[in-house]
Amino acid sequence: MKTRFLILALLAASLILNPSFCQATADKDSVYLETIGGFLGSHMYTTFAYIGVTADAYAKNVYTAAQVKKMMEHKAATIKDVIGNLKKIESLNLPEGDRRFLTSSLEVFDLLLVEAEALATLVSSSNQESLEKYDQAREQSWYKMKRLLQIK
Amino acid sequence: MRKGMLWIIVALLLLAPVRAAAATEASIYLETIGGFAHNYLYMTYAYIGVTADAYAKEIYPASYVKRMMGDTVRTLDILARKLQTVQETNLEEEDRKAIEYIVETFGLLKEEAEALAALVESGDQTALDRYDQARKKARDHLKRVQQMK
Repeated sequence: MKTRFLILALLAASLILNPSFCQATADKDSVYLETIGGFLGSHMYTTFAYIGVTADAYAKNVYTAAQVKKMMEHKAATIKDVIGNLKKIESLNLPEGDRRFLTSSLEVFDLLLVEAEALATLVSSSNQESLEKYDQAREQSWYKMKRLLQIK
Repeated sequence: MRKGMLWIIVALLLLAPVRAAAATEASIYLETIGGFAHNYLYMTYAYIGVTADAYAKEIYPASYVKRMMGDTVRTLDILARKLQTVQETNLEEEDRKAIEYIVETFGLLKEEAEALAALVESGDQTALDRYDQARKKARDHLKRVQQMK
């Protein structure tokens, strides 16, 4: 992941007053932010793969429509949870590069949410609109994720 | 001397909100990490399961499933290492234990993914038993993680 999800050091005043405290805090924050960055990338990639495998399995009658609907509703709830957590981080004082990464990640998760919900609707209704919505969200999320995570 | 005391008081007053903000940020980060780790455990468990089901119905060839599980194993390794670095920061005992348990569960999911990769390669009963056992162990562990939430 190119963008290192890092937070800048705390206030300059506190650096002068207590350098060891700030150093420790900055290090800890960078550990936390790097871990969140790692989870972000893995989470979006595995979510994308999971939805795709489920759709393929449904197409070959591995699961019933009711099972897929339940799986995707659960997935959608999880994605909403992730989006909620990311919005909390967005409210913090992040450097511009990290904020851009976060904003792009939120865009991908929004599309993954549309994808999961569209698949849940598609298996229930089988209508053309849901299929198009699913295909479009899948294509867009893959495109954005590839760019963001630099997948070759 | 008096002037020195004054500077200490000023310094402490200036530091107080900084410490509070830092503590709040740290707790937001830790909550996010906990949420991500928790969700990731369940998603990986589900992902391995649907991939195994899809393979059983011949939707994907063995080589494809092997690659998918290889990616999963590598990702679990990376994330487990990241969580271990979080564990090395100054955490409360409860958080430290929770991360320890999550890392342990990552290890079990890794075993499950490796067992599925071995199963699609060999297709024999021993590999199938190993996969079933690994899946059961991971499921039991996940139930405990759910209780810890």
